[in-house]
Amino acid sequence: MAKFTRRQIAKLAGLTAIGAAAPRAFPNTLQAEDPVEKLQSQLAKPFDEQTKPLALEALKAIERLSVERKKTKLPENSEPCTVYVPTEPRR
Amino acid sequence: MSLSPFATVSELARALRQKQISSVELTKMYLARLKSIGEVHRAVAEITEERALKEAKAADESRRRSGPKTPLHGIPYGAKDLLAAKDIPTRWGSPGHADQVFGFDAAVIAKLKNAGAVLAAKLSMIELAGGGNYNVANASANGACLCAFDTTRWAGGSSSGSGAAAKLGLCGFTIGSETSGSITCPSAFNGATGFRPTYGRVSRHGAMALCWTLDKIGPIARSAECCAAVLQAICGKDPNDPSSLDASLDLNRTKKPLTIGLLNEDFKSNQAAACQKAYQNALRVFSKLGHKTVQVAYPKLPYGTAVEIIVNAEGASAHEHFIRGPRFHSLADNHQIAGLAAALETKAVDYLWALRLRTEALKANAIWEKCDCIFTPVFYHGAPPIDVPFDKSFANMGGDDGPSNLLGWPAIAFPIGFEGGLPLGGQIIAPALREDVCFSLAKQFQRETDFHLKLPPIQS
Repeated sequence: MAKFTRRQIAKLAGLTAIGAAAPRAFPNTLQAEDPVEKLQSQLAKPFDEQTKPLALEALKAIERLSVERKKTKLPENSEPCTVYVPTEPRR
Repeated sequence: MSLSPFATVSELARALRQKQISSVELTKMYLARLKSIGEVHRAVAEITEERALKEAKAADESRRRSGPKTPLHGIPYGAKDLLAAKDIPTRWGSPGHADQVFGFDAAVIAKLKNAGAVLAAKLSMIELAGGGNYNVANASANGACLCAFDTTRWAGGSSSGSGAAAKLGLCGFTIGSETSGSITCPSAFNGATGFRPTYGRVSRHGAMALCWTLDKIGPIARSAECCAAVLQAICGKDPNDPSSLDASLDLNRTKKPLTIGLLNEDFKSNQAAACQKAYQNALRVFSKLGHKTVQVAYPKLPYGTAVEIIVNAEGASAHEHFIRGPRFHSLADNHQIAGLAAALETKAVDYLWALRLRTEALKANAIWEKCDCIFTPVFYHGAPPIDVPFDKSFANMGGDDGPSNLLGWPAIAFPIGFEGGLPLGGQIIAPALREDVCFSLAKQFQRETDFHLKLPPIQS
């Protein structure tokens, strides 16, 4: 088992801190991923050519709903309309 | 034996009681119509002939022994194909579920069996109840279901076959389901009378889930009286459906006269002169019956946005395994494939906002301090052409965009007039658990008018 002195540990911690703060280039992840490609990667089969533009429209519609709903501010901390009723387990 | 296939539930019950016809004879009559007219209109998903004749025979024997046990005893009916029926294909209208069979009856089917009703057919529907935002009439394993009054027009959805079959006299009554408009729409387009119960009034055990927090199951038939008889047979608490309510149903508690709430309608910009005329005529009928009207408005909230988000999130969750699986791409409508897949991307915070909006929407209950019910057209126009995508054909349709589905309020849809031979539907929306108000007013209206009695062009 490797042993570290307190000085070595401090040096390592410093390096990690610098590493965490420094900008790091990951070109692949910085590139915007095609949303339709990303969506169909979750499916068993890719979309056919006719469905691809519809999928893009559908994704935009999901995003539009997300934008639209933010225009209505709800009371801070208001409860969702769901009810969980705890029940005693049956013996 | 000579009995109109368009007879109401009470007329069918009387004919059976007076031994004018047996349940087996009645069942054979409707099976023949399901095979001929039902096929032409694409209203049928599966004819359940063997089970129907067995149940009809049992009903006749039981009636002989101890009389009718309910008003539905011996009456054949059809159920939307999202309800499980033991050992009979239940395809949910989806080409991707072609070989799906359940080994049990849905609660509604079991209750109707217990009431002595006869399951004659599973009826066509929009695939997966249209959860992916379908855009064409043939978004179904059965193709486009055709309107009872015009075979170039759509029967509505998603309970397409239930609406058409009820009006075409293919069975005594039908069962449909609604997440957001799926009972009221086909009722209006086919000139049938359809009832959407309060959320939780009818058990959904054994029914395909589209939206756990919005789905309701209800009857479509030829009159409000028929729907009331069916509702009484199918309602009630069910331990298999935690959302089902243990609440009494008293359809005779409505006190007259009623105050009917009217919303701000936009007939003019929707070019809906025929609907405006039918609407105003209905108001005159209500007035003649002694009811008052009052202008009302819902609190301004984005009810439609909340419903869309809930349908996306819950629909994608309910069908996630199928959406991610190899048969998903066999759905009939590309919009459904695109919409259901994209719905997987709905954010949890958006969904929870919609459920919080629902809490806020409860403020709309204040409307019931001003009126007993709301009357509004289902749509401003009749059934759209089958070959025009909905994003075009529904441009001037209008339709109630209030909180009624979000808050689980009951509604009854029924014909109030015609536009170029196509039925126009009105609806009465009532507070939660006040189904009695819907039935009381619709029954009174149907005693004064004959729109619900007008027969479709194809009668035999």
